Amino acid sequence: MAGNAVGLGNFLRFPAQAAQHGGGAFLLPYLVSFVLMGIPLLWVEWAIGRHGGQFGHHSAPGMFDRLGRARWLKYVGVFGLFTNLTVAAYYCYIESWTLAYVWHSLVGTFRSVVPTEFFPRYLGMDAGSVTALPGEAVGWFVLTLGLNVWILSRGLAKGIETAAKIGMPLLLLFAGILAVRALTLTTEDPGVVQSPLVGLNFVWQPQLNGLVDPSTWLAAAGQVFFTLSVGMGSIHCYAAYLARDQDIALNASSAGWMNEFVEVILGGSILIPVATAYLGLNAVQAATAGGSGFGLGFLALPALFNQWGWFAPVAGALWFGLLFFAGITSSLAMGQPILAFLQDEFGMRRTRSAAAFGIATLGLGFVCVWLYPGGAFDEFDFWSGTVALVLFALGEAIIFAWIFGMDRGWAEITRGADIHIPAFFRFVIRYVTPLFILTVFVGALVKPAGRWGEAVRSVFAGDGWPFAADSVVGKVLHVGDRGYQWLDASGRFTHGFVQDMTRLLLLLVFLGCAFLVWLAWRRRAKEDR
Amino acid sequence: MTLSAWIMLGVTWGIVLFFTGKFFLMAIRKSPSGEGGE
Repeated sequence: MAGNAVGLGNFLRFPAQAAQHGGGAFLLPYLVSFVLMGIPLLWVEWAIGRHGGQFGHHSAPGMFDRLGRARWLKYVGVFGLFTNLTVAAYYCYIESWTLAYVWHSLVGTFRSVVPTEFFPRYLGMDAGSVTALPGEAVGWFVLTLGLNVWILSRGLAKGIETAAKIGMPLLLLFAGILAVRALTLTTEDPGVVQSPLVGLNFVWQPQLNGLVDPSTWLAAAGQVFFTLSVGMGSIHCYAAYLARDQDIALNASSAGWMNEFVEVILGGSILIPVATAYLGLNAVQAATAGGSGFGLGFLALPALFNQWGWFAPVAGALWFGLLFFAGITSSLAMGQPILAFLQDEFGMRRTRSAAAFGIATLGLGFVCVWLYPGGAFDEFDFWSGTVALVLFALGEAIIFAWIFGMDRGWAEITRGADIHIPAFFRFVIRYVTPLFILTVFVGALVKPAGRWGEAVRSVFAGDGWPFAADSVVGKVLHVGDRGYQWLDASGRFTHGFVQDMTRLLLLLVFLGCAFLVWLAWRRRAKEDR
Repeated sequence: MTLSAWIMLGVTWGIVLFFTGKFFLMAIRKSPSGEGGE
């Protein structure tokens, strides 16, 4: 399970999110979120999954249906289909970048082309255009997605997990070497413009202002969910195959903390210091501003490898190859709940359900590739990879503690446990976690442009609530997007248009998933299941 | 690196290493094949 949890989020998303949200200002909310939300939610999800599995459910809608009598419960489980499908779409695209970089490292592309020039060209970025159809990137994406679908259709995911037991220690070893090299770079080294310790200081300098910024909390909570695969539905699916009395407490704890080790210690010591060394801190912040920041690793690390002489192609291929390996274990875990839903509810065979997943992911992934310059990819990451995870987690935390009931819930978590979970966490799961997620979400939803007190006074003065540009409502309303319109003066589609269309698409996908759940339960009623 | 950054780094790394090591070792001891959970 740790192999599945450790993925691209640890090495690429975490440092970029930290950089984007003020370094040390991000880290405190992140750590608090991990303890008060991440770990309790891991236990909750494993418990919901194992419980649902006893009734033959291997995807979230069925599992939630079994947590209470209300008919609407299964529709909360729609998130467990939606997030896996939409995150898999853009995640496979990033995964394909790592595969492409294995190839380009081996053929020595980065010796002749500067990575900061190569990457935008690879993505087909062209100033002024909101679309791109980069042949090479599309090719690698289709290959990566095809590989995922093939593995899923052959039922080889278990084999991949087994292989991950070899690949994962190798990745950690190599990450350790990279971290040491990153932190020992000096301005005397060729190409280094700033000390990597400036980057490390940026990440670790405590800044208390992050604690009062709801957007930082939302980003931190979103990263905890993303990296632990919490709020997605993939952990539920994995746990559904466990026996009734099999331990979940120790499994969840060891997977969660191992993930943190990789993310905070290794992930936090490589990308930002290396990127700061070769690009400078200002460029690092600029490269991650406003988006997911996944691209930073592809801009910075080849520059480091280039300094390693004859070993550069091997190092690049090894690093990006292992990263691909870590990524594919995660994307396969995203595919499994979709396949399980189609098999459980519609009686589809594995090959057909894998093909259905592949077609849906290809369509959604194509939008991310084609409209990447217009911001579709970042929209996917924000709405599916952050907001939806937080919403699903909020729903499941409330349902588990208050509808399923804490007595039954606690018994479910602790049954067969190989560790003693302090009773304190019973209180945390019941009160703190739901309240915490609710506060984070509502805060991020309506975050004002200035101080909260000023915003309240603005309401009483009749001027309305001044939504911040990075609040959820602010994003929906395009606050701060001056001259927001769908067409520019030349009649070309704008970023605003791409953003709105991507949001509409995601909404339609969610409704489509809900319709499938409705259809499945109508089928169940007819068959008297 | 400032002193407060070093303290923050040291405390966080210490906590993460402690719990990762603790649960990892427990998982290894529990697993008869020595595979460490799954």
